[in-house]
Amino acid sequence: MADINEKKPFKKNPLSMQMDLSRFTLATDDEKQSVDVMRPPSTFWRDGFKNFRKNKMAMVSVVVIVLIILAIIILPSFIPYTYSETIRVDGQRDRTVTNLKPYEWSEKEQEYIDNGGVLFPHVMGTDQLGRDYFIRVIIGTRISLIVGFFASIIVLVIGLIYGSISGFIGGKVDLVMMRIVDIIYSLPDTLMIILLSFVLKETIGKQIQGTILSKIGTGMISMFIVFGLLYWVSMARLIRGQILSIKENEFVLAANAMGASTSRTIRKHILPNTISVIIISTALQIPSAIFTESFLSFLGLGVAVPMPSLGSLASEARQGLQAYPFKLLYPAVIISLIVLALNLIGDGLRDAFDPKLRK
Amino acid sequence: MWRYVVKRVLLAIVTVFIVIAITFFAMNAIPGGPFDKEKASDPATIKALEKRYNLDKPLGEQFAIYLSRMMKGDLGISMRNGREISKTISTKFKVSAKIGGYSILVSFAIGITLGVIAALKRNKLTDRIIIFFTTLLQSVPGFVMATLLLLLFAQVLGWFHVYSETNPSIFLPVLSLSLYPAAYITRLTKSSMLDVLADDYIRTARAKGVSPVKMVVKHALRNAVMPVVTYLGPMVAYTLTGSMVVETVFVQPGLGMEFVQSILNRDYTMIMGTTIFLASLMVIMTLVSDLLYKMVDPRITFD
Repeated sequence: MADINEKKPFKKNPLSMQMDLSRFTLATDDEKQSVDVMRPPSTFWRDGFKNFRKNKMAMVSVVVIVLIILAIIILPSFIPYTYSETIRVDGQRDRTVTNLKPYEWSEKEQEYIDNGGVLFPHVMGTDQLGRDYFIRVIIGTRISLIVGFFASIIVLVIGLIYGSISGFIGGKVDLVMMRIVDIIYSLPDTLMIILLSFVLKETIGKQIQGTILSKIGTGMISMFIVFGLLYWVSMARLIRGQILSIKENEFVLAANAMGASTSRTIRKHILPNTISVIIISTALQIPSAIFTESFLSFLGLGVAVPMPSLGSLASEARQGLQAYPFKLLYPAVIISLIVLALNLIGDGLRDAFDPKLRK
Repeated sequence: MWRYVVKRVLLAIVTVFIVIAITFFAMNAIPGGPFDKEKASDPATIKALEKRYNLDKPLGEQFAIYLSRMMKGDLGISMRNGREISKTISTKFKVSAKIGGYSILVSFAIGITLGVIAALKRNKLTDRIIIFFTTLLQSVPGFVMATLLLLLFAQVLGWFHVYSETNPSIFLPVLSLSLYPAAYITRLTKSSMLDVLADDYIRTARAKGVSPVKMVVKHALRNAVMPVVTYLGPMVAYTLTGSMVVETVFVQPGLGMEFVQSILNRDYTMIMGTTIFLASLMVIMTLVSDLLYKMVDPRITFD
């Protein structure tokens, strides 16, 4: 490297405006080392996940949620009972199989086992209609998680589109759009949810009969519609606020100056900066949706029978509570575990990804 | 300031109107009239009934009639038992107001006390225990919590009767209605207390030799409590919806249980009347708590 000068002796034209290279000396190897990249650059995501992994409570919660998700995917294929059908022993109806305690057998089942038959144990007993409670709790967990997940996706999509349009266009459009949000925001949400779920449950039942939608059930569809109608406003507000403040930054001006199109500016420069807020509030939306679902189930407006959800199982268990308290405890413990874990994950994500909190 | 007050009051009026409109038109969108029963009634009877309840008029006119009657405090009569809804609401609401009022007091008392303790013992064992339990309490649905308390106190410990007509104790309903808001207020108080304790004037007070108790109560808490006041509005809303759960579980003859019953009985006019009453109450309480917050904290600007 040091022989550049020797190979091409530098001759400067006296009239040239070029720099006089002979006044420069070459950097030594030591000096060059100072600009060497010692380790790969840290990105936003890598930083965030590194912080997140340090949070023990959040990591335990992730493990809990992953285990629960694996359980609700894998376990149903190993259990020979279904959530909607009464248990049959050797193809025959069994009247004594109702309200069994965990790991108990009914008389007929005991007889069958004594004769050399093999049966799958009732890990959580059976309910008053003679259905295996374990599979009902598993399917209920599945339903509750699906409701929570999809409800927050719906909220995210509507809020993201509405909020970014309002924030990016600004001006009069923003004013009108935010007035609408203000009014929806000031509605008492729980009451409106009860009312709309009631009305939707009564109205859409007949219209969707026979279609694929009827399989999902009126309760769940009306819940999604209600979430789509009411719960998106706080997400929209949040995203609008973020976009308004990011829009004023110099890097957006720079992108505009270099001729980036509007959609590129939004996609590449504005949205990546809002992503942490979006992730955090979506994660925290799931437990709140699960709560709302369980409240509606308590009022008899949740998922349609015979489909179980954790809320409806806990609500049904209130009858005969004194004799069979375990029927309340199983769904109650799982619902609390899920909500607690999701809340802790949400808090952990906020601590890890919110740039304002970073040291 | 008056401009702000007028603006907020107008928004509240618009909100109440929208609630009434949504409630009215949504309930009217349900197919099938309220007089449809398992066995078909005589068409003449149905016509007479519809005429009596103004159901034969166009929907807009029905809405206008409903609104003008409501202005006079008349919410119509229940379609199941024929009683006046406004009377039912006013008698039943007394029970709910008693339970709700006590639970608001209890949850603010517990929440602020625990919040201050957690803030003063920051990162110590006491703080961790308090925060652990508040997180746990916020993860249990209201009706599950109420049922578990009933199971614990009435069944296992035997301290209370599950249900008593003559001497209904409101201890358990108040307790189960207070736990969730108390947990929330604890966390709110803790974070606002931590903010205040880091302020310079607290250090000054300390340097001047103010006693620790006086410093916490007079200097810090007065400022820390202000954001907690804003929770009053949501708290009332929570108490009103929570009363549905608590009153149903503990069999208290309040408005919440009446509302749940009217949903189960599909008593349309009762659902409408109760929804409008509760919603208006929530909107008004949110308005009051917001205005109160602006009044107690002069630093907040009106715009």
